[in-house]
Amino acid sequence: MNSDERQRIEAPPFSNRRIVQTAEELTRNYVQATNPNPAILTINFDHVYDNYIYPEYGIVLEEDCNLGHDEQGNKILGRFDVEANTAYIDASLGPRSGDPRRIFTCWHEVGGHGILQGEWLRHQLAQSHRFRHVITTEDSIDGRTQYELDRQANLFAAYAAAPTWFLQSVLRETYEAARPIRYVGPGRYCLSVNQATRYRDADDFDHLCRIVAYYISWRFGGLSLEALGYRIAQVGFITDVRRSGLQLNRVAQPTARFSRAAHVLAAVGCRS
Amino acid sequence: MDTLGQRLRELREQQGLTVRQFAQRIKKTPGYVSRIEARGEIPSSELLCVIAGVHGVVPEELLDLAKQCYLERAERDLEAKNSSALSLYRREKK
Repeated sequence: MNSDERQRIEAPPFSNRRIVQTAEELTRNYVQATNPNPAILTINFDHVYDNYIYPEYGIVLEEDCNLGHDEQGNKILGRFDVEANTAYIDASLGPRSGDPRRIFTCWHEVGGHGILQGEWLRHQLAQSHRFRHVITTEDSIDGRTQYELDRQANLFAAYAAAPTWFLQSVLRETYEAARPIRYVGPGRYCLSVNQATRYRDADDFDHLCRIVAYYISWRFGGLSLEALGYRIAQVGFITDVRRSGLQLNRVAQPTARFSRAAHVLAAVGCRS
Repeated sequence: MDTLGQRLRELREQQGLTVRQFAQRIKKTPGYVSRIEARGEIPSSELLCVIAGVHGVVPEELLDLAKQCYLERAERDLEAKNSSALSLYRREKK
């Protein structure tokens, strides 16, 4: 796609809230349509695609193609053909590759560009016959429209791959935590995982999120720990008390005794 | 999408059937139909005959397409195996 073609299309004017709602509704509809056993429910892209997305939306998924590189030499991981309603995933991310980026890329192409933006893009296509593909590269995004299309698709993918309603339920089931886990700094954290105690060393906040994600990633069809960890932090299951600590100091005038007690409580809460 | 999948989708759409309706007719799940049409899964010869009956086409047409898919896939797999064996052989030789 050259720059002329990019200027001819506009990204759909979807609000973040609408994108999140659409993604979460999709997963709820999938559960209603397939009626799986709630005890072993998983949001597995392949299963959702086979049993809900293809029958409902007719989006074709091809995963054994070589998509090559873009003008900047970045590997193209995914492409969505608007006219053919087909998502292409590069063979390097194919099911046999075991690449953890596959699931998110599939959700991005099929869910984001296909389900969320498909109708809009086809309408745009009818107005401008020169636009045909939406391309996802590893780290480069050219143009404001391309950026906005990819941003929307990423948001959709994040919430479809790990919808809040399901993520919170899985976290509750697995960790039995009555309150958020609090990150107080690098160190050893004690987690209750399926009623068993696990000690894990966390280097930083993101690492702790990935550790928590590790024990539940199978419920999300092998979604990468990075993507799942990001969502875990987003739903507030882990909070970084070092960031919020500054706010406490600003609004109150604590005595030395209160400050010490608050610090101890924070540490106990996180490392219990 | 392979040729067989494309053809099966075309036939289904010509009859105006949804994936779910077609799955009911051949007594399979919609997920299985998705895998055949969109993911390149090749159904058994017996099922292809049933599908041909549902669509009113001669079974030979679908069986030939399935055979073609098998052969193409086998050729691709063999080429991949050969090239990996060759690269391993050349690396060891160095």
